[in-house]
Amino acid sequence: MAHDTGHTCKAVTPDLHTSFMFERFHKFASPPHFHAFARTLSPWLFGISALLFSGGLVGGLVLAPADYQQGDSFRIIYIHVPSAWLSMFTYMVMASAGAVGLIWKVKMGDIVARACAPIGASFTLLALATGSLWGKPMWGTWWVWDARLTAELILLFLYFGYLALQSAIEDRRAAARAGAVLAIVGVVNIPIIHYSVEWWSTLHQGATLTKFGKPSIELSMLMPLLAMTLGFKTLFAAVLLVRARCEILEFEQHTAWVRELTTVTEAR
Amino acid sequence: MSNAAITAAGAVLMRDLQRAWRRRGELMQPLVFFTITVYLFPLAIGPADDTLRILLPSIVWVAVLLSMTLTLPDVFAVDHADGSLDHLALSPHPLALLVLMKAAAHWLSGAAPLLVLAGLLCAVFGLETYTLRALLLGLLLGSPVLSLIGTLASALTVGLRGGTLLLALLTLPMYIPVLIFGTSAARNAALGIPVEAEMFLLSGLSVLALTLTPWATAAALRARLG
Amino acid sequence: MPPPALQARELACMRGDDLIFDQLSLTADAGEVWQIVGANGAGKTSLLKIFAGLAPAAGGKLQWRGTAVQVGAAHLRQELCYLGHLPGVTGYLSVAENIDYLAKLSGCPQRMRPAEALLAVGLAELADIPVRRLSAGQRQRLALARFVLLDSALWIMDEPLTALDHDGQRMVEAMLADHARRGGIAIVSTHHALAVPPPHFRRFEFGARPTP
Repeated sequence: MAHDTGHTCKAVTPDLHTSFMFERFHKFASPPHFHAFARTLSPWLFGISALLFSGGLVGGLVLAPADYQQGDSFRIIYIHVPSAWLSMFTYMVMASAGAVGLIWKVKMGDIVARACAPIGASFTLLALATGSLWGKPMWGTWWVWDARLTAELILLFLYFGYLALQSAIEDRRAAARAGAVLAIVGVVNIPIIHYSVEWWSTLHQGATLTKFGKPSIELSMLMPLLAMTLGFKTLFAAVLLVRARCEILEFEQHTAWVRELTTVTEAR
Repeated sequence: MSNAAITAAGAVLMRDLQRAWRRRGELMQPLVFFTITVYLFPLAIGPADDTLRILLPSIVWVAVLLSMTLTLPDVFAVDHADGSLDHLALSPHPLALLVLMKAAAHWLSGAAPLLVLAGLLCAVFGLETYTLRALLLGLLLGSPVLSLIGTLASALTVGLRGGTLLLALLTLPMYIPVLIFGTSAARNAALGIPVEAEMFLLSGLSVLALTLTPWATAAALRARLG
Repeated sequence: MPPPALQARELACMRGDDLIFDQLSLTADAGEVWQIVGANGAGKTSLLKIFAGLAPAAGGKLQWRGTAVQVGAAHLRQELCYLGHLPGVTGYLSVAENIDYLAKLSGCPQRMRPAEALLAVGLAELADIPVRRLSAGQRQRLALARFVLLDSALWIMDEPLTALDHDGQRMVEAMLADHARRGGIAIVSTHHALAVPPPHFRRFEFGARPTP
């Protein structure tokens, strides 16, 4: 009957030049190589992000001067702003990886896209929670009808939709392909949503959370922000690698190399 | 576009319309749901309250969106149930064109009656003519987006358990821009502010949806059928 | 244009997380009627879907007339007539409307008028009856009317004899024999015995070694 012959499945490869860089990239498109590569790289990324976080938090919470308008409560931006940026960035990665999986049928694209979704949803929740915490001392309410925060909430709905679709479709690969279509449509929708929410909030003269004097943000405020953003980015990459490794094992559970991995640990 | 493709597209459209016409009893149900939803608000707010008159366009818009999510699963679910979805996918004619016809059939049988009923209800509630015109024009210009994006979501969720709820979850966030511009037009009209900008934006969204969603829907169908 | 031939090499198929089959190879040339047999769950329906270009294979290669087939490959769809598990007929339309719609949707040229095809499958008197009032066997005949009506090189049929009476089964066997004589290819999954003239008949059994 169906006997296992290991890695018989080949991704459809685009026309490759045999330059060194393309060979390296092509290697990462293969799940076992990505799995091993991710295992070695992710501890480093966690370490780097920890360093960046500590530097950024010290700089932001301790060293940067208090804002003359908001006092110390503005310091929440050191978590709010990077997580909001990362929530958008993650969606872009999810849609791009999904597109690679859908159009060029590269399995790693599907895997990375599925791995991104919970991470992006978490960043979005964090951005919303910190936005709420920021709004409380400023406006006295837990929710502020700020254009950016509202758009962030809609982004959370888009993530929930993606996650719901993934869990509703049983076949993993079909789910990833359908999710890719949804994510690509979402990417086109996001600028439209942002524009319409801006339109909507200017009608109501709503509060604006992110009102910084644009030309005059001080360097001592900016540096920790950049450090935190880089820290979040490396954390995202590290967590993505870990999640991608789990997804790879689930996608490839029938292949020989995965069986080998699990039986070796049992033997110990 | 070959003659055969146009014939096939026409056949898809006619079949969906014929099927809708022969099931016209069931087509009433979303209209009843729409009416009930709209009537919930005066019951919730209070009949002599001026708030209702101000909120009416927004209530109607939200009720339209919710009622659409009830009609959308049928775009592909019925075909999936009797096995004719495979024939759609196996037709050599461009699938994007064929699903566009499905969306058009949905608009004609599902959205258009809703718009007519919305106009009737607003007139009954005594909405001023200028606001009513802006509301209806906004609905008219924005409804293609609703049908097109809904058809895409219907293709993504075809045959899934709990598909209707999932479809609502997917479409409603994507409907938000149309909702914002449509209600903005109605409210501005009530204040006497010109509403060309909103109308152009809604038309723009419809054209964008018309050009992009058929391909996305075709891709979604092929992804789900595999 | 290369002659009609369906070549499958080392196809693999996944259903969810399970590998259903692997290393499946089959070559179907003009004039051959292949009967696919196997236990329940062996993957017959999945295999037929892969052949039709409805589902992607998890591995291996598939070619029609020498050109590779991916999901939605146009060159295959233009010459394919497919019968799935369900008859694929619309309940609220009449028999005649159904056959009209399916003929327009397909890319294959018509060999005869739709009314003649309905006559050939024994549904001529029921032409204006809505399909939802028909029995399962009658719906199956309607689904088969397409194969009579259209001129397609490749027939893929999943359990075509379902719900058919004895006459119906003879009808399908005659259709297959005629199709093979005219140089077409048919791939049929069924556990019934198929009486097709020997030179055209081939058998593929899941789990056995491929027979030449």
